[in-house]
Amino acid sequence: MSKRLEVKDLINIGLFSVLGFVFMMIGSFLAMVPVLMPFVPLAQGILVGPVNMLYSTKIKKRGMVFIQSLLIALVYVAMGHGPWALLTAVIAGVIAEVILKSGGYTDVNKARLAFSIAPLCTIGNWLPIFISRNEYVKQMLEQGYNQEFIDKMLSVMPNWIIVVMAIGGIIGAYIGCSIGMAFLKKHFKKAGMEK
Amino acid sequence: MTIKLDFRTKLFMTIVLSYVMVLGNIQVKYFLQALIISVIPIVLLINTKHTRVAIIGMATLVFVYGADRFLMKLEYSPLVAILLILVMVVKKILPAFLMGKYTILTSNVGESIYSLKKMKCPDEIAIPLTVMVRFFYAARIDYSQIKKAMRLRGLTLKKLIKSPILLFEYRLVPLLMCLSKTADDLTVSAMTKGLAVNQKRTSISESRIGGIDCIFFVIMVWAIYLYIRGKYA
Repeated sequence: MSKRLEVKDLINIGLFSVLGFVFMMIGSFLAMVPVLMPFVPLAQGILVGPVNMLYSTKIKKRGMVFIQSLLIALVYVAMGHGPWALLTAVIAGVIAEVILKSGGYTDVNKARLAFSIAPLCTIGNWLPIFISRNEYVKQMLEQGYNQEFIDKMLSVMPNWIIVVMAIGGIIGAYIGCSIGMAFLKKHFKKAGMEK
Repeated sequence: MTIKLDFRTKLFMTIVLSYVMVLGNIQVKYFLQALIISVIPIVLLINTKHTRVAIIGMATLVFVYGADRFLMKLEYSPLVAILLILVMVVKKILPAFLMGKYTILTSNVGESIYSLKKMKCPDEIAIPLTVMVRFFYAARIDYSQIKKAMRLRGLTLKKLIKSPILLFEYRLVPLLMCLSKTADDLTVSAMTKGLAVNQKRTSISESRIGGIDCIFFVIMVWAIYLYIRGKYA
């Protein structure tokens, strides 16, 4: 089997990028209530984990996780979240690739670890808050959010919370992947889809 | 007469609309212009006879702008605040959403891959991107059918709301099965059409920028101009 990506792999990347993006989107609806903002990565991780575990059974080659996180970040950028997600997507993607590679693309536990890191590609969407808080507030006011919402949101977002959010994201994704592993055992192995 | 846009124009419009409407403050500063920009995708949808989507989009647009006006007059309370945020988010996302829908409805896979290749986009990005566009649509249809099938077996949202993990399982697992199968089918069909990674390929679809594309490019430049003026002046 060749090492380069083939059409089949690319189509799988496309499919799971869509699913990953959709579930992350559902998770981010939590932010409608401003106080819950820090829990968004956790929710996203739990939702996206099972999908990613099925994806991990299809990965046999280098680069698939990387392209997936890059594509998810690209969709976020195209939707107007600013370019920071690309940076975190590259970092998270590379780390996940390295972990997957160390497991030889077959080790389920390594895959779980890798996909605990990979969903962090969206953490970049929050980076502007921590880099230039005032700019961000100004921009949100201009966009038409009201002061109340911004105050409430920022009151639960001190600078250190990005670390908590990242860790929350990892824990959430780990839980999600564990659920995903149970699903794999219960359903997909029987259906013969896990090759 | 139906307007036939090039895929690149559609992609450009989708991105510009989402950037300008989501990040900008056009809705606050230039009400009329924002309305005009929001109507563009609806006009395009009517033009290509996707009347149902167009009507739903139009109704949502009218409702959202009306609701915004109505809510602004009410006194402040947490519920009103949440509703306002919801209305605003819809107001921002709707044009880009409709434009994206138009792009998905009117372009096929071959055409879009050909266009992206012409833009010197590497295959590793172009093929998954096109597949994504296709699956956004397929996932929704499959999901609604799964919901219907589950209702037949009595597994409705009402019954399962108490055990969210079960609900999650009964919805997600069939969806994943179904979509994986679709991905396999798509692979086979792509193979028979001679799609290979980073190799030259002829295409039956024409892809060139015509006069109409130029007009829409100008409109988009106008939107970008509004965005910049609203932000920095």
